[in-house]
Amino acid sequence: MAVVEMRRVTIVGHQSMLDQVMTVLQRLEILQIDDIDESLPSEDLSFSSRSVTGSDALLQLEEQAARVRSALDVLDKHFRKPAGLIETFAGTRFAVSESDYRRWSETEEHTLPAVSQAQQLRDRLLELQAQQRSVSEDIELLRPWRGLDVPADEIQDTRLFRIQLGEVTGRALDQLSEDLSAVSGAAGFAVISQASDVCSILLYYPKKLEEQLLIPLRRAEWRPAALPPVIGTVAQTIDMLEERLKAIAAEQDEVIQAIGTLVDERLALYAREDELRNRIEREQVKELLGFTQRLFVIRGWARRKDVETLNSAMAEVSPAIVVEDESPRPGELHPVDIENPPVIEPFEVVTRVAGLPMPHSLDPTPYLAPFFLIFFGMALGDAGYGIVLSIISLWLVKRVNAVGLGLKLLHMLAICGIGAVAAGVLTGSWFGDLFGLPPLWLNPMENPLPMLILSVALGMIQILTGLAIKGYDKIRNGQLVDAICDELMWIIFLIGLVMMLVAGSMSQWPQVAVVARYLAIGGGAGLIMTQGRHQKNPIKRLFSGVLSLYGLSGYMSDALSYSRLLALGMSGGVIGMVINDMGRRLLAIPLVGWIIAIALLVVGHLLNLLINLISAYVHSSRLQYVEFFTKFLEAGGKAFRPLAERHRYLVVKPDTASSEK
Amino acid sequence: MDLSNLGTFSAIVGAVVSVIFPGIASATAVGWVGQSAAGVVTEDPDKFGQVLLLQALPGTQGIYGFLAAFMIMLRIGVFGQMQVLTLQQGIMFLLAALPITIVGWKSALMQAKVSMAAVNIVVERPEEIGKALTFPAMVETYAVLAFLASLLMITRIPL
Repeated sequence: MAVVEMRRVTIVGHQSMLDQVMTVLQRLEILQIDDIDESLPSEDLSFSSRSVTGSDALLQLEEQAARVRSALDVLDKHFRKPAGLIETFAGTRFAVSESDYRRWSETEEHTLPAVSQAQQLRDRLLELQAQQRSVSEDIELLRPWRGLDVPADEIQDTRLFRIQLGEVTGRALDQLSEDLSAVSGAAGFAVISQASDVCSILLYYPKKLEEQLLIPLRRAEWRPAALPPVIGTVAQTIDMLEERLKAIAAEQDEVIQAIGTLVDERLALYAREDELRNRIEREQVKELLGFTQRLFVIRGWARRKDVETLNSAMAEVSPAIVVEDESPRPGELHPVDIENPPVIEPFEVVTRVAGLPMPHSLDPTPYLAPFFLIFFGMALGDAGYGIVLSIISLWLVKRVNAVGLGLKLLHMLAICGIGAVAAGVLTGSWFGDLFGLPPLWLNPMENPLPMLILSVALGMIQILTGLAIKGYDKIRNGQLVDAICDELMWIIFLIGLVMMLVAGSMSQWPQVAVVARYLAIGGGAGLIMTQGRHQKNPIKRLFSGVLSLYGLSGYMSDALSYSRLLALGMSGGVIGMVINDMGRRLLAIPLVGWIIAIALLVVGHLLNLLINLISAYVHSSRLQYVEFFTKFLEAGGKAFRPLAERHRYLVVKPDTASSEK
Repeated sequence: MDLSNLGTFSAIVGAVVSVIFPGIASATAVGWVGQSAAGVVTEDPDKFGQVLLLQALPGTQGIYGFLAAFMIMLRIGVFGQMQVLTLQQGIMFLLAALPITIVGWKSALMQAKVSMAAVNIVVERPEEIGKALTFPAMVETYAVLAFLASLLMITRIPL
């Protein structure tokens, strides 16, 4: 339940065992490998490092991976991944058994046929697409000439006449006609077709007049036509080309169907791609190692509890491999991992999203978990929504085979659903006011003030908790005086002030006001006296002390920030009411009214749940990050990231009877 | 002109503006973020879920505005027996609607800009979605507070 203790690990062995060692390490997923140049001061020993970039082994792996990926791209383009809306949203993974995974991915053999077939099919498809494009272009070029009912190859110059097909601007048609007849009665043209401003014409004129016609033709923007090869009349050719297009389309369909037969191989391809990527990573990591003539040296970090496993796994590879472990040098920044009991573990999402604490700092997860649960519950604030959220979350865990952070998030939402149920029961909110159940405590819609006070009070409690944690952390590190001067004084001062506020409404216990006054004055005086303790000059010291009381405005604004809990809870509640109100009105429609009403209620409440879920998560997180973490947390730790087998779309399940179908 | 209805009239104006301004602003905001989100999804459809969250964030101001309007309608009896308010009461409702009307309007637009920047976080580093969500939420704080102020006033105005 804290930041996990890390051990510095060094592994030395003969280079012939390196590949085996790396494979074992990647399967175990317990060692983060460091760059040896950084972790071992260079004066200790000098190793040669090995550059892997561009090595044959790596290039070959990358080339193979690229081929598998392109096969998958072909598949994905024509056949959607077997995933619905929810799965796309949540990033589904597909479960495969360990034995299948190994069988599919160890060698190229299993996936090679599919990969090469996909490649062929893709190439064929590209070819067909190119053909399709060129045929369509030909058809477009020919279309204006469709009306030309003589075979195109018969349009040729005669001995005296030039006969040409071409285009002129539509506007210039009359002018051209006049110009031609002005030059000679023998020159003229026939309009074959006209589209917008382009006129396709058949032009004929006596060859000897060519010079005189240059200007009128240019004025009409004459462009001789360049027709694709025509067999028979243009109309016949177009028909033929269209037949061609149909044939191409039919073949495309066939090719796509053939691609469809590869869909069954998708998981195997995923497996192979993952394996290749993992091997690539294994190769790349070698760059971080140190080498002597015959030996390799791996430096890295492992969790203390894993060191034993590491030792025995290495001994199994070969007794000649040496594994050393030691504690981090003082001040050495090692990677950080956190560990919590199962109930709290899901809340690590909140911590991990913000970034892990520094190695010497505290893991905030156990402290934020109860607050997050309460805040999330209040912000969602509806028992019905809470139940639905918990059920959907648990269902999704199974449905999308969630792993890692996604799994934790779903588990956390499932737990937080319970918080929302509690809040809903207290405020009488079950799908808004759908069932008209009475609140166990009060309805914030009618009486929001107590809820507002509760929100801010919870905020105050969290802020004080944050200060207390900081104090505890300081004491742990031997800074007792600092803990008393900074955190304890503030805690006393703040408690005193809060009690003074409350005392007004507790007239039956006048002692409260007295105690409150002493606490506030004592805490305040303590702060004034101690906050300037780093200043030598007594006047400056006093001045710094007084100035430090300004921190109070920070605490106040932090506490008031929690009032959002009331607003978020109410906004969900009011929308729920609106939906219910609309539903009740629909009931008045005869016969079908109740069907529409139920549909509206289901869709409306689901949407409202979704919107409120986002708000509740985002704002509950924000309260931790901005108001809580700032009181005690030193962020900036680097997450522990062991060499591991990673999977993009798969979840590899250990072989059990149930998974062997 | 019959001045006796001016109170109810003012309250209705309050409800109207609190829907219109944050509503238009949220629509614009969601539209902007949607455009950058759509660009991302063109490149990588798997990011749909993440960018959708970012798109939804600046949409809440419109909802808050609508809620304030709904609470006003509830109080002045739009759904049942319409109350006749004094001018003073009506103006109080109108004033109570102003925080969420104005703050919701401006904050939605600003939040959209932050959300669009946050979309870029998701493009480069999808694993940092949590951080990307937090920045827009910082802007939303003020819309939440304004809504809270409006709501508290609307529920407490004496009739």
